[in-house]
Amino acid sequence: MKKQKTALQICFIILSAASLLLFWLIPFLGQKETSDTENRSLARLPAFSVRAFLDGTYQNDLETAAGDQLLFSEEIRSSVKGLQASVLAFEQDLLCRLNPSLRSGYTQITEGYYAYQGDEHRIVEKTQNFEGNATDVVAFADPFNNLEGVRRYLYFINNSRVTDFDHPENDSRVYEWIRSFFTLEGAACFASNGYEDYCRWFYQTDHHWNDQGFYRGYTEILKLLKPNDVPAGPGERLETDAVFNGSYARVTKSLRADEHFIVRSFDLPKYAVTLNGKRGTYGKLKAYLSGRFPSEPLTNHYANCYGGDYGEIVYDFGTEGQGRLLLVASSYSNPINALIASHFDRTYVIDLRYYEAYAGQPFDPSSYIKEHGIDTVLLLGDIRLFLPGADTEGSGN
Amino acid sequence: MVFSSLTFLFIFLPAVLLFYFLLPGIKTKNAVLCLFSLVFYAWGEPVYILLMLASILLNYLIGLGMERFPRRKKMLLLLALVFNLGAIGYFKYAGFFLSSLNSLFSLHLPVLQIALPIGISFYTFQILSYVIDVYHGRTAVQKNLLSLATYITMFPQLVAGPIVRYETVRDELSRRKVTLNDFTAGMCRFFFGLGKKVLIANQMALTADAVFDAAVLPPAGALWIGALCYAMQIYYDFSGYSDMAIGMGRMFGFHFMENFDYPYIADSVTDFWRRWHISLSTWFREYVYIPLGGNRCSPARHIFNMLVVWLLTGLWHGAAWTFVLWGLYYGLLLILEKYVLGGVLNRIPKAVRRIITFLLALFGWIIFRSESPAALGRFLSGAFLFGSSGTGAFLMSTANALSPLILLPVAVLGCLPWTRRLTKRFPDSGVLPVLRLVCAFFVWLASIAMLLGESYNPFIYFRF
Repeated sequence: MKKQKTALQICFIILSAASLLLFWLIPFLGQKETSDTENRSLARLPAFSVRAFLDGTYQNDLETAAGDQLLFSEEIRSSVKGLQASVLAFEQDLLCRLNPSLRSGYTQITEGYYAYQGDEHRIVEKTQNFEGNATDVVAFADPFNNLEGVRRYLYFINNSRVTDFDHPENDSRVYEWIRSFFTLEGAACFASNGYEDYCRWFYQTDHHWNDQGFYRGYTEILKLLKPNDVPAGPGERLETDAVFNGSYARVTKSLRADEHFIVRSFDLPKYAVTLNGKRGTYGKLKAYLSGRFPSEPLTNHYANCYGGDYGEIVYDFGTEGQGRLLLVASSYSNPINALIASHFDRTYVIDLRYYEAYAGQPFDPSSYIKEHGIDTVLLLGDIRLFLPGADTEGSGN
Repeated sequence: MVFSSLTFLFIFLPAVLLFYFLLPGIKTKNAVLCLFSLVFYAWGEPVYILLMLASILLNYLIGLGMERFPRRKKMLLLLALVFNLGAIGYFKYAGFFLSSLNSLFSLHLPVLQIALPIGISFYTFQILSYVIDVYHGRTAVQKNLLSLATYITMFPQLVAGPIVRYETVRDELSRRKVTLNDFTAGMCRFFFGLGKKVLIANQMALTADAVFDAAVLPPAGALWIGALCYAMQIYYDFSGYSDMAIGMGRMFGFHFMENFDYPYIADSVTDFWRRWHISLSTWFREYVYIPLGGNRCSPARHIFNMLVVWLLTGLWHGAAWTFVLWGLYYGLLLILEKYVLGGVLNRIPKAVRRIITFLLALFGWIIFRSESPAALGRFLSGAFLFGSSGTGAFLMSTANALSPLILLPVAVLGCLPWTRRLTKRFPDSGVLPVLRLVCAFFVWLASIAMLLGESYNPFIYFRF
């Protein structure tokens, strides 16, 4: 009996020691570069330096790298997430059985992503309580509220992240909340009237607005900024062969979409574009119109066609007397940058996520508007523009 | 570094075990423990390690001085108290004191913004126990600086207890042996502790945080669920940490005191504090309550002593008015129990007493968890004055609050001493020890899986 006990204890220690040594195999097996299941780059073991140790970055980087590089970590992580999603679905189902009035149209596809009313082609997010993050919005709003000598506008996009399709009557909740932090000349919201209406304006599996949506957005923005101007377009629509599986499809690894990517082009006066300080062409609209585009199933056609994200894009229409616009925006503005800019002499589009990396310093609206003689400021985006922390991993912008 | 970090589990722990068991001799082993403990501390607090080293050196010299200059003992004790309590006072309470003065008297004194050295409340109390015991002659002076440093810095209990009195480990610092039984039992205990923290406390924290930190006050039902989850979180978090500390201590041949004894089955508040954070209650009893006169004095003086001890207990947990309130709440409950309700309580069935005690503890945790007295008022008004309708909708719309609730019954069951009863009932069973090892190993694997899958991993007691 005693021998058996000893043998068992030794087995236990050997098994435990073997699992404790999982990390030490990394140098022999080599470090992984990317995660196939999570579609992201993996953190690599950091090099030690006294400075990094003293400011704590070495410790944080090592912890992240250990999580990413540990043997079987990808598989374990994805199994845990899958299990958690199943448990949540079970609990929600149980609650609904206990109280049928709680039944919702949402069905979880994977954590944070849903199908609504059994729509098998579309993926949406679900609204949450953002109101606990007021300090972040205040920090965002203050520099703009303090600007002097400019007209300030806000255009807020109600996407599925802030829309509760079960209760469309609450749709303006987040917009009103965000708006309350700003001192503005005018504001408007890109809202949908229920799920069916939402489907009209947004891509099936991408968080962005589709060509109908962004054109509507442009006309509403123009009404806000220059009510007397006539909008450009509605432009030429061309349906390509490409089935567009967007950001949600990439994150959830679910090619549900059956919609073809539609390109919308406009006849605009000639203009010059500067991308992060260099003259260039924004987007590949012409290539798409002539049928030249990648055919991989998860291609980001939205960014590929209409233009990607830059810290600073400057549009110069070479006119005088129409004013200068500072457009602080997320990727929602990409397809309508030029449309909006066509109503101004010069338009400066700033993406706060990338500006510092480009300019080498954080964006300071006050000195920027002085430097460029700006008279109008427009903040354009969804909740992520005002609350960057509300972003979900992988959903992109 | 926290025990439930991957760095600790997969890098630090294997390294320290390897060196500890490869190198011979107790002095070398102490040196390994001390060195790794300093690395452990420096991992989170590279700068404050100097404060700790200074503290060790000063208290070591004070101990030597007490032996060498017995007539100056009192002055040396005073010096130790001033230094140790001064350090904790400066780092932990100066900001609170100044901001309280500012709000009470509308002053504009500059408020110090100082980062709190991790575990200062724990290691200061350990150092004080050594110096006070030397002063009273209850323990001999430790002449070996390395041994004293090993005692103070020992990483298993350095940052979140249990508060190990010097007397407890004095002999083991110079003479200890690790048997296979000890090592296996220690490892088992460590795995179960990790599981308590990662599998239960972290999950309960998600619900508790979703409720306590909600911008819009949740319905009453959700508030009570949140409070219950917080009660589970704090128990599993802290007792899990203590289990890990005690388990690791045992792996290195030390036998620390138990810190928890199923507190949620206590049948009175007095009983609750005999079972909750036992090392802290013991410390306050030995070094504050008894020196003040304990209960061998007039009722008025006894009540005063109790209030002082509980005020200090509250403040020990944090520099905030809610902690003061929490301490006084327990002080008053204990006074009531001792002088008013003692006879009545004894006539109530034990099961009912247990439920009442748990509800009182739950109420205490609501005070403890609230960020401010205003937040406490808001929580209580919601919990008692408004209805529960909307609880289901709140849970449906707050995935973080709903998801962990599947573990709530497991958490509640785990607070009951059924494993102890099982062991007592079948003392000679060969199956139970096997089952225990198998369970421990699976808990370990599940904890690792959860750690990799989750990023939410803070230890509550690190704040203290």
